[in-house]
Amino acid sequence: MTAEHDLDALAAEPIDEQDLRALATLRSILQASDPVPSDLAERAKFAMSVAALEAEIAEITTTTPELAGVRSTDYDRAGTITFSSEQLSAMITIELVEGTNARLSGWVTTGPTHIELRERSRTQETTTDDAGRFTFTSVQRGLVHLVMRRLDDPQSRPVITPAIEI
Amino acid sequence: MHAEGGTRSLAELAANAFSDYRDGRPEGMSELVDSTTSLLWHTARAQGLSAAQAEDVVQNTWLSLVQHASGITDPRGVLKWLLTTTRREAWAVSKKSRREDVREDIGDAMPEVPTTGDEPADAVVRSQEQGLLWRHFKDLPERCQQLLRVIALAERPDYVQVADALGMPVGSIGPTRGRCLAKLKLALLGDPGWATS
Repeated sequence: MTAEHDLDALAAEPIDEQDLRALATLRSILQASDPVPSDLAERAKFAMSVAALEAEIAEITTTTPELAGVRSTDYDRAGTITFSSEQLSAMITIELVEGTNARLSGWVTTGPTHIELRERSRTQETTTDDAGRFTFTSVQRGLVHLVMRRLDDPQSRPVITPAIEI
Repeated sequence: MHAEGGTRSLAELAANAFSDYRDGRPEGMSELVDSTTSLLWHTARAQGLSAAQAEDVVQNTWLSLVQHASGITDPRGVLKWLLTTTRREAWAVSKKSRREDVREDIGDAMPEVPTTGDEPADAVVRSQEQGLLWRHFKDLPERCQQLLRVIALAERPDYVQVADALGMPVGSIGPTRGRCLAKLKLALLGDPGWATS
């Protein structure tokens, strides 16, 4: 039997424990030497949301000191963030309720506005009151985005905020 | 949600998440991105792209999915679509920048692998095994290295779909070993260090 035959015969056999060991070893090398950038998935999701909504991106203009490390892993953060875009400005306040939940209240400068809160595994919606205020009483900890749509100007582009870590 | 044998199939997970998204649950897309970005990253990197190039390619794949979501008629094909799109785009980028120094941090040398575990002896054995495997792996033909790099990061039920998306012929890997894994096995069998490490 030639080496080529050996190879063909080996190739036609089912995968065995030794193959899986070789692949597991290769996997451990690649995961240690070439890790996926930790924020790649989050950035991809944000880019997709912006593209899907054809949205305008609001910029964070100020945060209170408690939220200065918006993307850090500190516990018990609470504070205020303001955003601005061409169409509107918004301010939100986050208060931690229990260990795993938060209350998010906010205010927008425009008239009646539909507010969508995109959490990791669900989406909540509300509409601002006459004073431009809105509240979500139970928000999951993690990264969230707000998508704001002006109800008085349905032709306007939605406004999306960057990820806020709660 | 689970494939036969209890091993979770990424293809199935991806199909469910994509169906959810198309049924009006935006969280489905988020689950899809979380579960498959790692495999897309390694697919792009296996084509020899730099980290920055691979990031761009993966992001573009996801943007492309948003644009073409309605054109994917069968959600079960979404993983293959993502892998194929990433591989093609990575190939185009790699072709454009070939002969430039794009292999900034994964070259022919054994990459720096931080050792884990508290036992120093254990850590040494572990890195011997890795060093030996890596040496034989780097001797494989380029195409085999590309395939096995992605296969190593995939789950077993997904091997056939991954190989198919990477443009490898049917029978490259799956229930049977295929020629790439057979070449690696021959090399390892001929190395006494593999059996004892």
